[in-house]
Amino acid sequence: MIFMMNAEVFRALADPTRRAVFERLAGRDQNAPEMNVSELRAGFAVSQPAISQHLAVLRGAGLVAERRQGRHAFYRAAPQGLAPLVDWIARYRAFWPERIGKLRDLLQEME
Amino acid sequence: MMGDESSKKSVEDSVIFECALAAPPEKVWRALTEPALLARWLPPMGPGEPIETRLLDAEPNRLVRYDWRGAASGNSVVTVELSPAADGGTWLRLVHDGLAPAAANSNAPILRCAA
Repeated sequence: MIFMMNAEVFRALADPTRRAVFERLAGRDQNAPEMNVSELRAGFAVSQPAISQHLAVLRGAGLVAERRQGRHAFYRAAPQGLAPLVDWIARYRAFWPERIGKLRDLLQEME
Repeated sequence: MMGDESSKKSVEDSVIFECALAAPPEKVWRALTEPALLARWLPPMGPGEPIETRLLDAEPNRLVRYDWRGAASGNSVVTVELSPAADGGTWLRLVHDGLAPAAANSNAPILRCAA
């Protein structure tokens, strides 16, 4: 299950525009974490519907939260959104020392 | 302006591991590049996903770089550098880059093996 969640987060962030949208939200000051679609779109050569589509994927992956107020929608980075990625890196931080341990064993056996 | 909150929302995207090995670089090189030897310490299985590797760069006895493709996580790059140590052994430095496809914090702490 954790593995599936990881795959979704990776897929969501694999697209450069989507990653940039997420980074824009993640870089916001905590006192004003929200942005609307037109603010998020600024500087990107993509349409507003395309940005909305990217936001939908980011929300699906748990990376972005939406707040609706009448006709307006505001987006912010979800506080725990990157937790699966942090776990993922932690797994690799354990993986390499363990593998290098095997390499040491092999080097002793080789002659 | 990036506040504290933003740094919490970024992820270190590389793992750096350094280790002294009690074998000369030539021998470590064989273990890194001969498929039969490589498979004995690095089977094509990462943490929780199958891995496909493709050789990107090789400098005999010094450097090898692989494209590391995880079934779920996608592409990252593993670089292993070898340098001769004074005691006749090898200093190995492994850098696994591009692990997290997100805002990267390049200050990944270096992991070292127990002496």
